[in-house]
Amino acid sequence: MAAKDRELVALADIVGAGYVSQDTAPYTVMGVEPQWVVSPASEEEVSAILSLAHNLQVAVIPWGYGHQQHIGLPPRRGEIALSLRRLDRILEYEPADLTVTVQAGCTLGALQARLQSARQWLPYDPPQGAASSLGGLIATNISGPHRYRYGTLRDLVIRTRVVQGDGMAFTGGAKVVKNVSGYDLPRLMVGSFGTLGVITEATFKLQPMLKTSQTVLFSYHSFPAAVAQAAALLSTALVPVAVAVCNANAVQALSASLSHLDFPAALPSGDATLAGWLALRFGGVAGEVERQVRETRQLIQSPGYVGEITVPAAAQAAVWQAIADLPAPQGKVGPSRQVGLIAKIALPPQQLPEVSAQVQRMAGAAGLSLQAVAHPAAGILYLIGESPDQAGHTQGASLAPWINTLRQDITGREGTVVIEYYTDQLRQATDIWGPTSSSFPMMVALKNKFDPHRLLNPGRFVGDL
Amino acid sequence: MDISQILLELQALLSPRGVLHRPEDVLLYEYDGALDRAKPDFVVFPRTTADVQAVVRLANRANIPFMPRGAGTGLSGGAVPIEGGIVIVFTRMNRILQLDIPNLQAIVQPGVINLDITQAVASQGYYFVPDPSSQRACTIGGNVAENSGGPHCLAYGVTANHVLGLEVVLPDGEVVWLGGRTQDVPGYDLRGLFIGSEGTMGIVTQVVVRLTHVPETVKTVLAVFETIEDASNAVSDIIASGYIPAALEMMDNLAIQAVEASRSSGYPTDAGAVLLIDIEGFAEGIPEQLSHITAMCQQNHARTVHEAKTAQEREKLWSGRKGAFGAMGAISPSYYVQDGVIPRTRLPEVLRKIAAVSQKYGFRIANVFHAGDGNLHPLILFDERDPAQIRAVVKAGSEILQACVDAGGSISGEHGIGVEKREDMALLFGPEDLIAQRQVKEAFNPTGLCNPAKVLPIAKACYEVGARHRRLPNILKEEHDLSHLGDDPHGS
Repeated sequence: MAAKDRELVALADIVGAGYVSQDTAPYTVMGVEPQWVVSPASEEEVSAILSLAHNLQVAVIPWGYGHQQHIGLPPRRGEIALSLRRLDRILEYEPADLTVTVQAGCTLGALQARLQSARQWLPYDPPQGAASSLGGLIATNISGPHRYRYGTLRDLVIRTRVVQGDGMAFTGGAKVVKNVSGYDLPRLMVGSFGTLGVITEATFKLQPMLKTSQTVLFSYHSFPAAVAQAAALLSTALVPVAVAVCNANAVQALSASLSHLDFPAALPSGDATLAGWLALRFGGVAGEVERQVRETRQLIQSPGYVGEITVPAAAQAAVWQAIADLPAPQGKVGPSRQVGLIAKIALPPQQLPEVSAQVQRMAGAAGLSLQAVAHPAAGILYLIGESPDQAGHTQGASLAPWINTLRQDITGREGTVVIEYYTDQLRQATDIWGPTSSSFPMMVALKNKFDPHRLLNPGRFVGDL
Repeated sequence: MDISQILLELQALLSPRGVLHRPEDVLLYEYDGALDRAKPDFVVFPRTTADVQAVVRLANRANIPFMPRGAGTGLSGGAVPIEGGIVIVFTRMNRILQLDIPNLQAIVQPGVINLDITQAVASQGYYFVPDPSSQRACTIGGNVAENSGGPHCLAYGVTANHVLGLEVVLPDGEVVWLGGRTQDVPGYDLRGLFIGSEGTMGIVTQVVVRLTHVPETVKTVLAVFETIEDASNAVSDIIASGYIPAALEMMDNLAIQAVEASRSSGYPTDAGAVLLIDIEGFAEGIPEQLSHITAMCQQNHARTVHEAKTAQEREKLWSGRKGAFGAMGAISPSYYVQDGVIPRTRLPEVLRKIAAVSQKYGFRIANVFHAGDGNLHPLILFDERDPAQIRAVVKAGSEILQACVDAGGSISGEHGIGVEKREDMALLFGPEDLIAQRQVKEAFNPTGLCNPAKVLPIAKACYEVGARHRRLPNILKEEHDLSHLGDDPHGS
């Protein structure tokens, strides 16, 4: 047993022998298998573990349920997998305050179930959200189609408890919906990929459940036509709560996954390969919902419009979750979905129609079959490559030149491309995170303060933060 | 580098007209809308990002402090040059650079006045949402620094929710973009971190703001209550009912009296409290919201619930609220405002505590506040000519902040920490929390030259010796009163 291994026995002193394990295979991240899995039951224990790791200079990979572990580069090292699953309590919930405080290992599904009893919700619908820990969702800042109305977790997290690299635990923000006391540490923590500290607790702003809502799917002959229609609609006075546009392949996957619902109309008619869907959800009191749906129908005049499907009320949640799940590798979209590529493009929103058309042309020229789903107001376009073996493209290095050409184009439009899911071959031939921004030196300066030994998720985030 | 050398270099950079340095010329820049004051060595008026960069680099070489200043309407001393140095004023960087309606964005310089953004796009049906009461004067650069709010932030969020990107001159003189025209840029959210950093992380030179469609219909309702307790319970019930209005403001009897004494806004002077409520959206959705909100008020014994019938009447009701701070002059020589935030369910309890503080110290306290998000603005009325009252009013203010923190709240909702509440940070945050904040500050501003002595407590010893308030502030009668009263502002 190496010297460090002996010292790591101290982990058992912190959490109890039953909560340290060397059965680490399930915690392997992209080929990097930790030596220990440790499951603390309190923030004090997290603190003690990080303090020990800091002193021994061993790296720590924070874990929730692992649904987002595919995002980012492989860790450079990771001796300890730190599971937050035992920190799963809802600590404080006062419905009339519209705030809730939870531990990081609580899943979004468990939280929503609790909030539902008071007819409230966290207005947030990331891919695979229900089974994901809130800590992991905050760390990765993934989001879904309801970001149109409610923003991302950066707008919803009002307070965090975090344990930084040396084991020091601190609070940022407060349990009130409006607060400018000191620096906005919660915003810094959201999307920091566990590289500044381990999130142990968070307080969220909540929303009352929508009094009523209606979802309509407008179908088009082409994906770019649907994207262009979305862009036109969103500069009007309409205020949908969720918006997404799906291309033909994505529609096909959705139809298959929704086929269990009593919702035959979900299956696209005619030539599905030409289809594009614009999905809109309007919510609020009945009068404003009806008015907006009516107005949307009047505005839907663009070339390429085929028809519409009104989603039955009971199927709404399933339809939106299926759309949200598209950019997730283990998504329940399609019976045997095998993902080989997920790329996230972020653009100034008005560029999206043109880029959608261009991506479609580029994919066609390269013989790539991609699913595409756009969050038009946010300027975000996900490309999902299915079936790794299809034409060998998503498997091999041949995809890399395609991605690199795409990135060149997107960068020229002030946008970014992040490869959220990839094969080894692709990683070796392209840059997963893309170039760093002009403010990158400030990010390094922050990293050096919060994790000076660079032991938290080392090597995983942009620019080796 | 001596002071005359710095002056020569500043004049060479910005032309002699772009630099003020004589004591009588810099007098106007000694204070903002809060209590403290201190004399700058230089006041400069850059025209470009490159000018700002050159000034910051010069300040670094000369090792003197520098800080940005917008319109000076801030309420926590954030723009006061506590340690002297160069105050960078943005009156010459006040252009809207680009309006991009299809993307619902505008790029503006930091000296653009908040309301001017809205006025530039109003004819096309858009507006910039954050609406601090000073919006006719305050600048977008200052809004970014303070993460400003306003009554309508209840429904739509504060400045941080409406700013997409920032061009910033960092404290070392580097020019960078934080955020931008795209969302989800990989890396830490430095844009989010910077907003609300009160000028301690660098100087904003361009801002990408979000524009929002003007709601089709706005209804304003005045609900009149016999007691503040009933009004508070109505607020809780409205929030809990899920019909969240666009704005939900409360004024207590003393505030009503002050407002009505200075201008008639149509509030009954014998009411215990009034709620001013805006309901917005599509015309078809208004009646249902209105009837529920009215029911919540009636259920809590509202004397009347009155809907403004005309735009003029709406304006009149709101003018009372927006002019409420200034109206205190009609009933008191001076006032001292706090900005604590509490969970909404704790309103009745904390308002009782404020009443107890009023009793204990013998000060009248008027309450005018953003009830919907629990952001209190107790206005402690006193007489600045009596030094004993100045000491007492500061203690009373601190007791109110303590009550907010005890109720699970925060010491500032929108006015910022600045100099004034710097030491009160220890009421809310423990030593580790403050270390974490200091780490952030040091990462951006390692020399401490960029807006020094703001946001974080200065020294432990200082607040141990001087209890929570280590010095006596200079309390101003009105936001822009020049009278300088009180003792040495820097004593402990």
